[in-house]
Amino acid sequence: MEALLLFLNSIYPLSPGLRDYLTTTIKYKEIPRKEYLLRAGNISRQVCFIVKGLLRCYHMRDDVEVSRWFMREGDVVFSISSFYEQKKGFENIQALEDCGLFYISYDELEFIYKNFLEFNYIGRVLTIKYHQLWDEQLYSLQMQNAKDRYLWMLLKHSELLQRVPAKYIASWLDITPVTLSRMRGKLKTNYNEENVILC
Amino acid sequence: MACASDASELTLTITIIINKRTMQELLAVLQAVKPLSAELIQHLARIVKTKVIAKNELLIKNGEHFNDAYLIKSGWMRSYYKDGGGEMVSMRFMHSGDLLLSVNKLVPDLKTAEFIHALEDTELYYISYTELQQIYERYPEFNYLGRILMEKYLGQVIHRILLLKIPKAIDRYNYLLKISPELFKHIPAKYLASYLGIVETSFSRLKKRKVRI
Repeated sequence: MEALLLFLNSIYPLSPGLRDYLTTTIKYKEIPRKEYLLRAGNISRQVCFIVKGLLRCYHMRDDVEVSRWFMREGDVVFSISSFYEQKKGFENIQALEDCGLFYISYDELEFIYKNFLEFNYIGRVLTIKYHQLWDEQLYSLQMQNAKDRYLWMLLKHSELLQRVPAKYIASWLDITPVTLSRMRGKLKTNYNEENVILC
Repeated sequence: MACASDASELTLTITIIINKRTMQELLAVLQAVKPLSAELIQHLARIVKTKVIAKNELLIKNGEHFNDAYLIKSGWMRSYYKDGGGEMVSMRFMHSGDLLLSVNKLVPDLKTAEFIHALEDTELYYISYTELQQIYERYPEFNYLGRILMEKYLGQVIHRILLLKIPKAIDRYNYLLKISPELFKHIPAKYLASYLGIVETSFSRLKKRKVRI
């Protein structure tokens, strides 16, 4: 818990009142690998901070799973399509590893935003952070070919290759698993950051 | 009341010192999200400026001079990137009430820069990026508003990514028609086509097919 408070405090100093409220309100839970934090058709009612593990978010297109994001230690997760408006969403969030999460409810978060205005600074900064991540992905999807998307992933999110099954990564980059594996083979032998920039 | 911000930009840009009525219009937009304190309103009245960009002019070219934070008062704009072949690819469309902040400032290692193009005569409120940061530091209440606006854009980006991952052009077209029908009224076909990742002729074909249905 102290690590989470330190993290928040590093963005904007927490007042003693807010610190007390958070300490008594934040709860902890664990989700075993392959279990779901959220299933499509439900309302995302909690905002979670990942202490341990990695989660994947996906939606169904016909009978195909389309990866939306992967989040790991230090990330804040909820279903954007459901949480803000507290309506039923189309996103599934599944643990790809055993996960440990701190969380508070939507109502508790709203209470904090209204009663501790300084927390809006933190909320705004974190929202911008994830907006940037999505913007980068958007840019990559719209402007880059399969190879450049793969290189972007290597540069920015290479850790995912060790922790996430290839088929999920391929779907995230919107390339086929065959293309992904071909590029992995081609680039594996001499990969370092400098090479990637030159490619 | 009107004065030119810079003689060399005379044909493009006219900066206007904000008057009482304009300020009230801005406050109506901001206070629809959250009422602001008298102190913050006074501060805004001192620093907010407005600017007019004529139809088809660029507000931002190649990501240059994007040191201001804008809020659109009226008019439609689009942002686009140039791909390797020099083709313009539409990234988003904005209109009254929308914020324009530099993406390049946020994502400095993007290979190409952003352009922002006025699709109509467009009027903008603006303050410098530094002034915006000072407001966030000095007036915690303004973070409430900033957070709500950023959440709105986060919601939009995820729908946009969902759209781009739809394999068939017709399905992308229909999805956009469902979530943003207003774009089809205001945005020329060639700009919507690149937004959907299809060529203009295919876009026209899809449109005709829809009309017939």
